[in-house]
Amino acid sequence: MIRFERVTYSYPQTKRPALRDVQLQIDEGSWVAVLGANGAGKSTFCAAVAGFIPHHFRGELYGRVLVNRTDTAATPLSELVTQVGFVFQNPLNQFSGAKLTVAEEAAFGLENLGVPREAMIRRVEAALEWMGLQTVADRSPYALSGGEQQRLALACILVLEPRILVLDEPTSQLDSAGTREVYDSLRSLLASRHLTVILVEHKTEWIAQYADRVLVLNEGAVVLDGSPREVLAHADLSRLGVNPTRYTIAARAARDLGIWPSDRGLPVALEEAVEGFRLLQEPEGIRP
Amino acid sequence: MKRSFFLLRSSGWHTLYPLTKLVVVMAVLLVGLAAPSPIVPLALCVIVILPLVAWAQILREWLRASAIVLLPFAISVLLIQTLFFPGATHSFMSVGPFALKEEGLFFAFGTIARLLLLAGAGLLLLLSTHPADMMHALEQHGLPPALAYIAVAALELVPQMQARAESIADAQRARGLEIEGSFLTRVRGLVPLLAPLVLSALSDVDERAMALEARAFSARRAKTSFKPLVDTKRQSVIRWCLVCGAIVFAAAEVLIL
Ligand SMILES: Nc1ncnc2c1ncn2[C@@H]1O[C@H](COP(=O)(O)OP(=O)(O)OP(=O)(O)O)[C@@H](O)[C@H]1O
Ligand SMILES: [Mg+2]
Repeated sequence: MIRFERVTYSYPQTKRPALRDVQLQIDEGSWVAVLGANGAGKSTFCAAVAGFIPHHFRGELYGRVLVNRTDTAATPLSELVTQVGFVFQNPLNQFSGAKLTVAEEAAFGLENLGVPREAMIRRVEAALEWMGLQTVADRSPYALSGGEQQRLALACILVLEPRILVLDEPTSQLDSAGTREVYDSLRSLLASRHLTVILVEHKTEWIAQYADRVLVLNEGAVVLDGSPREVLAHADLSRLGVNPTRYTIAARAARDLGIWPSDRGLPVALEEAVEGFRLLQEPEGIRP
Repeated sequence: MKRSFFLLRSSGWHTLYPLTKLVVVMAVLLVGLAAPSPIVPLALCVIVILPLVAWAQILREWLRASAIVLLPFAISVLLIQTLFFPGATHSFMSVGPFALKEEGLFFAFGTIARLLLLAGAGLLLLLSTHPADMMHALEQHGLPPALAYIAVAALELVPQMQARAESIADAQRARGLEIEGSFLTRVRGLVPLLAPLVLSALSDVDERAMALEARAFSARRAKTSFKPLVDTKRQSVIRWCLVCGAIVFAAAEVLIL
């Protein structure tokens, strides 16, 4: 469980806070998507969950962030990483750069924690299997495709067995095939393991499919918080710098043309949109 | 993308503990370079380094790398010394206005023989040992892990920077910037390449630092190793023998010969 208690944070040498009075609770096992315009504070929010604020970034922090009931400020980062795993945008920046093979790279975090070799082998094998990388275990991390590299970055974090996973735009450097690979692996992972996921992702179509809760940040404050249906079809979304899904956009255009009934909600996912447009074709009643 | 100089082979030499390989190379270098006569380094190159290279199954790559490293140097040393050796009295031939000096030829031969041993032994180590393994072995013998990491990662980052520079160059060529052509146009083309390279490297530093922390790099615990680097009693004995033997030999060369 994650709890933000009136968290306000400013980076060093800045006046405007990057997080403003954030108050929320994230339950165990939920998939939370974080949206917002550039500079809205999404990465800052992630850094606060993972304890990089205040351990890596100085600056001014008010309020408390609790992970599993303990204050992140009071827990050393090297212990927090076994509770909250953090995956970044660029896979290449996440590799140690000092390992020859995929399996060795995945083991790096466990070496640092001094985990005995037998346990290390078991955990590396499990993580590579979750991410579908068993077959490339002996390849160089740099000889993988973008999607494979990001899945390796995930495996590198999963070996630490965190209960919470924070992913900051994990697919922004990937093409659509790579994005699909990463999400498919994530989904099958979550089917077998009960993890809490916090995900920053601009591709709202993906969020509509996976998230159970969506937060929208604006200038560091949480301005929308609800189910994907409530948030992604919200009238203010574009104004907040977030692209609605293409299904919502299509239905809204249809509504503006008077085709889509104004009392019917807008769809956020493909199946809903198909169903909505199919209903339009049915006769409203039997005419005389 | 070329990652490092290391060549993976399944040879006996490759299975040796990295420190053993380092000691072998160092011992050979000590004995070879302490000798006053250039015959010694040349002989060591032929009867020690060459067989080891063959054992490591890297003969072709080693020959090529050695040639690339040595040829330009050897040619320039040879030319300069035979033509301009100071205080030379014997000349064995003259080409036009130039007299080729015998003393210069001998001196050049000596220099080249020593360089040959230095480059040959160094390349043997470089081509057959992954820097990460070497550092790991040194770590197990007391090198601070942070220092070891920085050394390896810095070595490994060079090809990555190269690849990034190439992709930026590609992007800029696509936008019509001159990168080929005369020396001056190429230098001018470098300037716009530099800014994004440095900036992107800098902005990556923070993400890299955070990513390392996210993998418990700053944990203050005794680290363990995933890859078994097997050191044996026998190799340890051999190392000590090599160290002592090389010192005695080198001292003898300096004092007696
Ligand atoms: N290291 C830093 N030092 C100072 N200010 C920072 C730092 N990182 C971010 N900021 C500022 O904090 C605010 C929030 O930034 P943040 O990176 O959290 O936004 P974001 O929502 O992740 O944006 P993006 O979509 O571009 O990733 C911005 O105004 C940004 O300029
Ligand atoms: Mg960000």
